[in-house]
Amino acid sequence: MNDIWTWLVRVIGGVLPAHEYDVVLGDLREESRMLPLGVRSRWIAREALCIALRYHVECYRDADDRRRIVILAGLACGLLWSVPVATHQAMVAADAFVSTTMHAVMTIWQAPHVTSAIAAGLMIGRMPLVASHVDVSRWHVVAVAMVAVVALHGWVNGGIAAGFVWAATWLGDHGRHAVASENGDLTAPSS
Amino acid sequence: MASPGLGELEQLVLLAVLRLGNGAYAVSVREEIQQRTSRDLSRGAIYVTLDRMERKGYVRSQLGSPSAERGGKAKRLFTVAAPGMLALRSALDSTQSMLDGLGEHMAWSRQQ
Repeated sequence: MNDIWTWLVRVIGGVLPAHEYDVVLGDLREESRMLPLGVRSRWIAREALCIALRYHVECYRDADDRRRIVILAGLACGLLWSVPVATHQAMVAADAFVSTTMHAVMTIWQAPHVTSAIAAGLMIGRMPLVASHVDVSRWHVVAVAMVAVVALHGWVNGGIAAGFVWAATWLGDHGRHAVASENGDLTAPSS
Repeated sequence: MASPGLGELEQLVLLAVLRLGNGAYAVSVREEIQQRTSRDLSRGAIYVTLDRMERKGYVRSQLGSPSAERGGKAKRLFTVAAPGMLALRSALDSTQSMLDGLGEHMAWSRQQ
């Protein structure tokens, strides 16, 4: 039973800022040293979750940060909506003069929900619009984008696209951190 | 109570860090505030406030040595930096200037 709570603390630790994980866990262990063993892991898990939530809420404290996060979410949702619409329009126009090459291009573009999901995900992960100390808010934007894509394309196509949004954001985020580390620009590590 | 640059919680945390000297870390800061003001602040509030003030340059932190009771994890120890002292002084001066001339009222409020 204790193992479940220990595992849960690790999962919760994943949503804490990386540079704070060890410190927070150490503090919680120190504070809980008088608790009975059975209760201790559960207490640490609950407190770690409360602290992690507080860090996530902190992203929206500053008005400028809030504005930037909303703009990023708006851009991502705009991309998710506009790419399939534009693709549909292009397909209708292209139908008039279908050639073999055009057919191949059109086949690739048969899945605009996936294309738009990858584009939106890369933008969310890569765009330097959001300050590094609120990096974690990019994953809030991902959650919004995933809900939007399911609402736009239904459970099956939307679900697949949502997975692509997540994966593309992860890739974009890693790419941005790699570039920032090379340039020495990274002031706060990603969570 | 708060100056534009320093919130009330930030003032309390800075004062606690000052009081604790070399032993200021999130747990001791929270306990110090609890003992002196009877305010039961959440652990998360202390962490994010210290984190925010470090970003602003008001406090500096360094990792202490790991200990067995902490599962081999180090403490993050905080000290107040010069900009933090300036911000704190400015905030307390503002409060003091608002209190000037209110002795009678403040005496009444203390009796309540």
